[in-house]
Amino acid sequence: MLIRVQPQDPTPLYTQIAGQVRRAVMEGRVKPGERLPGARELADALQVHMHTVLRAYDELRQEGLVEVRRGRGVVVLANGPDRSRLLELARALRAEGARQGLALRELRKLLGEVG
Amino acid sequence: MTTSNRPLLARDEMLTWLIYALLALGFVLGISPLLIAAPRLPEFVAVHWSLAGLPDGSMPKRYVLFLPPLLLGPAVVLNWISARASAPSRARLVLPLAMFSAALCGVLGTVLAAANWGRAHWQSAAHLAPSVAVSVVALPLVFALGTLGVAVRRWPASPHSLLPPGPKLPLSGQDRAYWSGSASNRAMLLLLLLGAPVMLLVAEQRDALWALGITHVLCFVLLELLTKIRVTVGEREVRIRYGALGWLSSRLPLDEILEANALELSPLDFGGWGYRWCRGKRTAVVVRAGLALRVALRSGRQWFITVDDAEAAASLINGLIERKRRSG
Repeated sequence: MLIRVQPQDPTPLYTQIAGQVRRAVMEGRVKPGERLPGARELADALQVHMHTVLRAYDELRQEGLVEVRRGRGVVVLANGPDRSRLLELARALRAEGARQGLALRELRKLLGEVG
Repeated sequence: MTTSNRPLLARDEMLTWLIYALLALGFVLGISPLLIAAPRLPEFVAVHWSLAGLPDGSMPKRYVLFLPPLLLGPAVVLNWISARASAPSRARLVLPLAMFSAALCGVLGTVLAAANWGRAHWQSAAHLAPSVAVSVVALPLVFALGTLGVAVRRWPASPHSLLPPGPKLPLSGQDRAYWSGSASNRAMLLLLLLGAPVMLLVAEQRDALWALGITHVLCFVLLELLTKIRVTVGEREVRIRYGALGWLSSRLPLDEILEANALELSPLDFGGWGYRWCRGKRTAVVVRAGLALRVALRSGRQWFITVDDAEAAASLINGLIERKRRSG
């Protein structure tokens, strides 16, 4: 799995890192059950604070893309790629729905109507 | 893409398994009849027969146990040497020689145990017609010739000589990048663990516990280190960590690297799995068949490391080298 960050890019570093992991999972370059690099190791290599890496990993964990396992570290979950994208879309849908004043119940109805 | 032309490599991997299984079978057939028959064998065991078929040479029982494994030694060494073969034609000969050695080990162990079974003295061991002596050599020979056919047909031409230049990741001065990947093949380790109770049980009853115990521990350590690796590419070096703990590692400083590629490897390219080293030429860390990273060093040595997502690794290595060259 390749992780590249561009400090000159306005995107926050932790977002870049999380995005790189997401992309790697979606492209199949890291398999479910495989460990992500250790936070300290990755932080040293990318010359960022360990906190930045931990924040990225935490975001991925909240998305359900990875899991923290005792003794093993941060591990990619089986339902990784599609779920990540779905969650992204779901978030966007909720945001847009909220903007247009739609309740969750109405959003669900909308989803049911589509294809 | 981490998948590769799987059907062909799966067959190669199965063939490698078969070869290893046959070598192991040779060892087991060589040592187990003697181990099992040990209490029923005389103190001195007949090991040589005259042309008339009468036993005329003997050896103390506790040394006879080591006779078949001694024959297997060359098989193991030959298998290792095949990785050093610079020409595919030489490599093709080595495999049948290894097979001959293993089969000889097996047949000899069985014949010695059978001929001496239940005899009070070696002198009263079974008479063995010359035809038995002939088949002791002939059977392994036939077996080895069979393998020659397989080796000649299947052994690939060296695939590493001409490789197109590898991918290169464009990196600006401030970019920071890191690659990590792994490869594992725990099947053999599992087999060893499963076989351990059986082997130790037999060994304990035959007072050979210490010998088999040591062998088992050695095999376990070797397999642990060579059936799982983690590889990382950073701005300073490429690092290979062996085993689940990663306490032993190999480092390839980026300054010493010329270029990197990704390619498909079969264990047969190097005579089998594990750490294969050839003086002045190649080092191969073969954990499984499939995608591998090739790193060419300035010294002329080439490293071949089976690892997933090798193209991205090669791409980063080449990109880092290029960036250093530009800024240098």
